Amino acid sequence: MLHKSILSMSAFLMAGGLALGQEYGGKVGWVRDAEFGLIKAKLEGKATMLYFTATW
Amino acid sequence: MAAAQRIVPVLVDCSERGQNEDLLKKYGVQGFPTVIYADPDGKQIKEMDSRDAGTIVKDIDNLSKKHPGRPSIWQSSTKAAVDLGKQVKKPVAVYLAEPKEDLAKLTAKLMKDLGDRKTKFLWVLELGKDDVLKKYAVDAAPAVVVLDPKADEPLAKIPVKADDKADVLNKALDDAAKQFKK
Repeated sequence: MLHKSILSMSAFLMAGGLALGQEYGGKVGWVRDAEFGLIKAKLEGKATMLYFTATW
Repeated sequence: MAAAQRIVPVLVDCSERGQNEDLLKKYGVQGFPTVIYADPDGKQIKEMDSRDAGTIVKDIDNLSKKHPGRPSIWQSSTKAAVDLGKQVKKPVAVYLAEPKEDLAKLTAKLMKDLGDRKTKFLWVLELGKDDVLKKYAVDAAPAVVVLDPKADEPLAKIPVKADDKADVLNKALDDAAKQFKK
């Protein structure tokens, strides 16, 4: 279920030529450790896109 | 540059009770899925209010103009580095940092010390938490695991000690590079 939800989000992120991560086979390189993702963004001086999801 | 390199896409899984609760509170998330854009300091800029691809592209363009990033040796993820390594025939060096390590200082040190090893390898940063150490079968962080993108077994596992001189890591990296078959 969660996997399906991520796939769906990735698909829409890649829609319309956005192709997030297209040079890596069209897959979105999600950072799955949120704490690390925020540290990484700070370290690299980049903005983040936080995708909150859950399977209940 | 592709969008994935202009921003950091973070998946915040809240499936289990209490999981990432601090982030849910911080960003006031009320339901799922929710997408929040934040600046490099984690301050919320806006919530994604449209799933129209054109709007998302525009949002990412605006964010990346405002926060263009700074030079870094790090690839976006281990998977991305391995995929790229297969294409460009380079080994991947995964730096497993101590969770409390000052990563800005570490990056600056590596940029200074590694010389041409910065580009000989594709570098990835991971936090050396228990599950990550287990994944790479490494006893402790900091350490560097050198991967051949086309092989299952790592080329080398290099423990890093705080008082080691740069030469120690560099020599171990050079030895690993010699084992890498293009």
